[in-house]
Amino acid sequence: VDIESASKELYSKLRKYDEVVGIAICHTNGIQYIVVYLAKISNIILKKIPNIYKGNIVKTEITGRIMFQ
Amino acid sequence: MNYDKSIKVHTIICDQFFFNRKNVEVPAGNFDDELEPGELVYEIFNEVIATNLIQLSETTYGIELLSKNPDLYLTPIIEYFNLQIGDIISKPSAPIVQQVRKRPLEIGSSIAPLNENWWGTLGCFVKDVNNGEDYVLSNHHVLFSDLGYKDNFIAQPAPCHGGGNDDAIGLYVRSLAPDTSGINEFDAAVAGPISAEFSRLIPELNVYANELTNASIGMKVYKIGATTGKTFGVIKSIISSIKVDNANGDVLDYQNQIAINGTTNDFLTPANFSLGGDSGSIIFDYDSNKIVGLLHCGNGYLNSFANKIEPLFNKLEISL
Repeated sequence: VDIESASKELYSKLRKYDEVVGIAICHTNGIQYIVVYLAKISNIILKKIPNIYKGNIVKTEITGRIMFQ
Repeated sequence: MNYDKSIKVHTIICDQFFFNRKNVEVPAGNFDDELEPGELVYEIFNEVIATNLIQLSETTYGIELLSKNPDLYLTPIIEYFNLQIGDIISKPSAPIVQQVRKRPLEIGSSIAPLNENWWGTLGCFVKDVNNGEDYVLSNHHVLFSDLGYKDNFIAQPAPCHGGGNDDAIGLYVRSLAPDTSGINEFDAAVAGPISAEFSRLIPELNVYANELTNASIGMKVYKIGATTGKTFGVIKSIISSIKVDNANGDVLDYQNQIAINGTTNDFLTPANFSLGGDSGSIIFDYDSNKIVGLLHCGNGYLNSFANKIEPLFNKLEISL
């Protein structure tokens, strides 16, 4: 599964959680990975986020809530 | 201090002090009373122009206060938040000049509907592809007012920065308005026809904002916003989906957004990219000064998000 489809699929599973505020596809040194944005640190949510999803690396980032500015 | 604590302190600073400068009521007979610690912090923040969350070392973060006062009194702030010396630093800065009347109108200046008390940023000047009229581009949530007036006049500067009837520059024309029940890609609106002289030059640069380009990961960017002025960052993602909280308590879904990590002008050191009132800012490619995005939201710290500009121009039927 390509990373864009994997990202969409993963977000559709995680979006229902209040602590999950977004997802992005990033790359560093040519390696693509998925980043899940979290409103706060939550062990419950972290346990629901896989390290690898459909062959793609998944990381998390605590961003806090995202607001219109 | 560590990252989590710096975020907490920065949130309190923004929510309670920086964006909430209250007139402190002094009861009759108490004029000689000493200020409470919180009131003193309010007083000090009256001199602060911008706040940035910055990385001091690999694991420590601090808060930088930009002020016209080179000797900003930091001790009460350090004591109020129970911090260590060095956790909060001050840096002299020229006053932000985006929140005043600009004629000719300038990219990055403060703008808002004439009857509203918020402000946003004048992104850039565009043309209606159908009739050739000149418009200003900003966000829907900046230019749209639902107060029910027949004509929604837009003022520069925003009324909360002193704008009045004589500062009206045009009417709200149309939007790509966010939908609370669907998935969005844009938060954009235009106002016009512009009834004031305007300049397409990017402030501080003798360069015209007259070309669009696609965003790419790693691209160095900058924006000029009505709250924080010119700030810098690096594009981290061009396929980003986010949930955005609005002022009514709704959560709006966005997809295909540009994610920007704020930095100082070295494009390495983390720093704030945008704050409330910067919405509507154009994201420029640092190397070419071409337009890549339209800022609309962020977390108030290191992360900001923008709409992709080319599909936005097509959908809103505008051109440069």
